[in-house]
Amino acid sequence: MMKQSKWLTVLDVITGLLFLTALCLVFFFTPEDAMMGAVQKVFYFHVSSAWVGMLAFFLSAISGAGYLIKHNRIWDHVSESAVEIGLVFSVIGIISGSIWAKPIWNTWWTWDPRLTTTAIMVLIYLAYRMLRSGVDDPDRKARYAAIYAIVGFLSVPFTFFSIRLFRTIHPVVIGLSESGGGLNMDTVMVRTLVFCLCTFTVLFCTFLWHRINLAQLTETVDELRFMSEEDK
Amino acid sequence: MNSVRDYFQVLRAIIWKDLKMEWRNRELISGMLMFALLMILIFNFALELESHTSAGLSAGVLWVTLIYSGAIGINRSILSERENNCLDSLLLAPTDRSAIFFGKAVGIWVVMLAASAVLLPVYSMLYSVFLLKDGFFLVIILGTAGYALAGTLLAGMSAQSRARDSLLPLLLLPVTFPLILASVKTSTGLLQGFALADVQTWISLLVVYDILFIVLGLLLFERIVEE
Repeated sequence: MMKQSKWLTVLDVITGLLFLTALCLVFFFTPEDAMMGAVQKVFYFHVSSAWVGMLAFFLSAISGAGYLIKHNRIWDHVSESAVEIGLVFSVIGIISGSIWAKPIWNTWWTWDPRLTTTAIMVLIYLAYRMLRSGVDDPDRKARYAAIYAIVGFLSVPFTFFSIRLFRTIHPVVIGLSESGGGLNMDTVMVRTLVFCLCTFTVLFCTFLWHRINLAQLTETVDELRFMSEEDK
Repeated sequence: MNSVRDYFQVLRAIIWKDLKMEWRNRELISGMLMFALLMILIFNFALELESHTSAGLSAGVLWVTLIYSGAIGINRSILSERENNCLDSLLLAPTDRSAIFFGKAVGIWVVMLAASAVLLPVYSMLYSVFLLKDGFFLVIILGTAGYALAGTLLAGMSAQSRARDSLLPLLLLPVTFPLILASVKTSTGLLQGFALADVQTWISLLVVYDILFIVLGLLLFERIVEE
């Protein structure tokens, strides 16, 4: 039995504390939006989840390239783990976005570039999961997964740009929006948002570490099973 | 210099072999056309298309038809290499393996173009939309090229999986989304009477997408077929 690293336990505790602090900040120490009211509170976790989703998929493409160059299985574990976590956070981003959109845009869903791109991204990485489960040979599985992670991630900006050529109603949060679609945030709100972004990034690292451990254990089990079958 | 000549020799040989095979048994094109005609028929009733359909709807129906029949063609073409271990013999060719990729992709592309050459006039006749314009040909050429490139790359992987044919569309469609969107938008624009210059952004998107997959094929195909 592999023992969990001491540092990982420390990270678990830190993540838990950060998350509690983030919740307190969002609910007790940040003013309500004058226009949107309480529902705007979902914004902090919504943006953070979407950010973690993008970060995870980016990491999976990078580690995919790492695997193709270095042939080290650890890169494959990173890529696989990042995709799974990215999927979860993207779905959280979509759901929390819907909750926000219903009272504000009066619909659960619009075919806006960001929403559509996120939805297609989720489909790409679900296909990634299907590709992985459809290939038996571990080396081939890792190679194909790495290639698809790269191809899939490269297509994302194209998807975004192609839908962007239509008009968008999603507010531009980062950077100045000239059309007035941006949010007017006071400094406390900005501070809470930045804190939530950092918290979610740490949360991502913690999950990633756990998931990589799991991937390594799975591989060990597979090897042992293979060896015991050979002995028979 | 010699290696460049070898490369193109392999490329030409593969394209020639595929087209010759296709000419003899017409397996891909007959399957694709049959499927395409069925789709057009079903669309007619599913969407209640009139004989004078709007431009937007026509472009959409046409591209969905092309894309699905294209996926069928790509699957068949790649799986035919898997039968009798033909691919293993191809891999023995003493040149860069991307030549095999481009050979297969061009083969599929030509068949898709041939299918469109039948499909466009038939569609024009059935729905009284005049599709045979120069700009339209450009979109078909660029759109099917990108689709054939991406399809060949991904089919190399899906053909090795347990699910085989059923996995390819799942891998291919989300990745080719921008290509499909750009093709449909350009076609719609052209059918509504806009000039090529008006849909320039979409055309550039198609060109950049095609180039991206040429580069990806050059870099990654080798790693798909290696054992």
